[in-house]
Amino acid sequence: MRELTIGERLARAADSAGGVRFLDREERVETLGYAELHRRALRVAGALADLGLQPGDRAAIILPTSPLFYDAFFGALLAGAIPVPLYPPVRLGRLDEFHARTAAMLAACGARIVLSDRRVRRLLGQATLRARPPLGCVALEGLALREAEPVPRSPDDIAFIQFSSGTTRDPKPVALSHRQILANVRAILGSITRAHPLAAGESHVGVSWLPLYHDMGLVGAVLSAVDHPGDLVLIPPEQFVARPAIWLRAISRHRGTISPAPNFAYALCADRIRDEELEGVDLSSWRVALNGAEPVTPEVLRRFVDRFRPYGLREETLTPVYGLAEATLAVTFSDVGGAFRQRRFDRDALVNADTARPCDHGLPLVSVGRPLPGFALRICDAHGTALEDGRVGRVHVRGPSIMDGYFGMCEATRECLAEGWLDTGDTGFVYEEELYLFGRAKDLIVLRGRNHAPQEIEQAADGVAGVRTGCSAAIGVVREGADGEALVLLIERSGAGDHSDDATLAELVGRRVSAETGLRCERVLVLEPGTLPRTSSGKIRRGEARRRYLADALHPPAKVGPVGLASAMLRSGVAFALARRAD
Amino acid sequence: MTPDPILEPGRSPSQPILEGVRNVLRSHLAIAQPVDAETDLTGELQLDSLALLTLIVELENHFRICFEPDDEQGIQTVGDLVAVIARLLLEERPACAS
Repeated sequence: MRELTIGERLARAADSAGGVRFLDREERVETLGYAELHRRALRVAGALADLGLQPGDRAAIILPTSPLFYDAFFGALLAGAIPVPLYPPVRLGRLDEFHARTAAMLAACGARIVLSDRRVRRLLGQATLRARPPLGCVALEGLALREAEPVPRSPDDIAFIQFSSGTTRDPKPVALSHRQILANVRAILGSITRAHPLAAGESHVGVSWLPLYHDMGLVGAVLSAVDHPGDLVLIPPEQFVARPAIWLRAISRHRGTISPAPNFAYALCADRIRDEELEGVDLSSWRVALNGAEPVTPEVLRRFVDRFRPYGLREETLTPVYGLAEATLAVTFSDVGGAFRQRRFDRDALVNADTARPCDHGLPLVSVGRPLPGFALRICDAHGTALEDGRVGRVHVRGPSIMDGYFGMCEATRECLAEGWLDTGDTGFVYEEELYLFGRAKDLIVLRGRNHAPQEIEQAADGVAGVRTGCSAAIGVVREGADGEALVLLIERSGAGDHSDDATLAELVGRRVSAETGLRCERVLVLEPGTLPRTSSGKIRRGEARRRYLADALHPPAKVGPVGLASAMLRSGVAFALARRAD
Repeated sequence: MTPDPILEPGRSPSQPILEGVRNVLRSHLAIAQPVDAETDLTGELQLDSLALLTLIVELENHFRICFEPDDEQGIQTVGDLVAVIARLLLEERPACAS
């Protein structure tokens, strides 16, 4: 019988010759075989048990890409606890924001302990003070190691918790069982191996710079490699960001066959890597470049292929995919080993009629393919009724790796999960049996694979003099020809009629948002008061604002006279309140 | 900003360091606008987390220094960066190993 828990899979990998190669900034390699990683994890498990960590306890992990991450993650697992990987602080980022976010996540998962290293622990003070994990914050270097027997777990126990959203406001802990995780990993590897069969004794070689607290890095790289088992080359994310060439050189040097990344990474490589950084690089071993976690743009795929074809990259290597943390990771794959599919659809029909109509000069969209074996998808209207192919609606998915729910959040779970179907919050349509994503029902903004809540951005804008309080909408927009989703901020000016200072106001708001949230607005659009669509209670309707922005239909309200009042009231709850006061 | 004592005229490496920071901003982050010690990194230059990461790693490469997490706290302006870099250069702390 196949091993059914992740701990058992690691023990099995320990019998193989495979392991993990950690690259440092000089691209030097530290190799740890799975046998060694397993032994280390058992010793950490003993130390954690001695500290009082019990089976089922949540152990938050805040560590950079390093062997210590493996020690903490698998050590906690083998102790029967539930690891919860969290973001380490962003370099040069604002610590207060990091503390608030981390404290919220620690509270949401009910962490009993925080596992870190000496460097990071120094920065965690405020966050752990606020969340008060009973066993405190422990630096892994100082643990009193003792080899322990692994605590047996059942396949349906929660294996780990990953957060679906990186925002302070609303962190959602996704609880996943061993069974769910292994089902996803096997669906991924199965699809790849069917397209690229392995000879006897051969295994895939993974290369990844993705952060290990992100589903794509943890499930897509670390756990897939353990389950396979196969070699994995890990690059610290900050090294990739500063020097993207390190990624392609690693694929070349270590003969990587599988390497995933979000769309922006492909753009970064195409734009930033110089020829002299690629001396001797040969990308012909690279069979599958999964592209997911944020909207995939055809322009970037094209640019990446053109740029690196001379280095042996094949177009078929690029494989657009779709997934989300609530489904463990992957849900749909485009044809592995085949060329990615791009089609053009009539923009007007998409935006205004929720209909996908192929059209020679329309908006180019990339197919993210079909559901993985065992998964199903359907497109639904807002009430959950299934729509026919070609209609734009909410993407619902079902399959063996969909979470049972958010940890300790029944309400939030009920909102997205019903009868096994997960409402992803993304919108799209099925055309010729393949999924195309277009927009999002949730108000989230996804920048470089990370989710952001619009409220935080709008709040920052609110503080700027000249912005009408509570009258802004932050939206994510994928422009044609752009590298991915970009942040657009729609704000209403506080005074009507005078646009002379709009440019200055936009500039000020852009700066304030950047300073407060660390996010860059691609565009700040200043609007007349009352322009943004609102609900009857006066709340801004972001989705509708986004639709009108894309359709170029954000029009100021008609002048409020006796005749125009009725329509103005419909448009603006605030205007309505003001008009009543004037009566 | 209160100038760090290290940066006083005569002993000051601050001018060449400022030049180095400008250089990194220009060549790695395509910042074309004028930059001085008062320039705010996130407010005025609107550097996002990716850009800040690139900046810090490239500064480490450029000056052959290693920022520890504590060093990075409270850095808001280009001048703050220059002061920290000056201190690290004087301490002759070894460059980052990883």
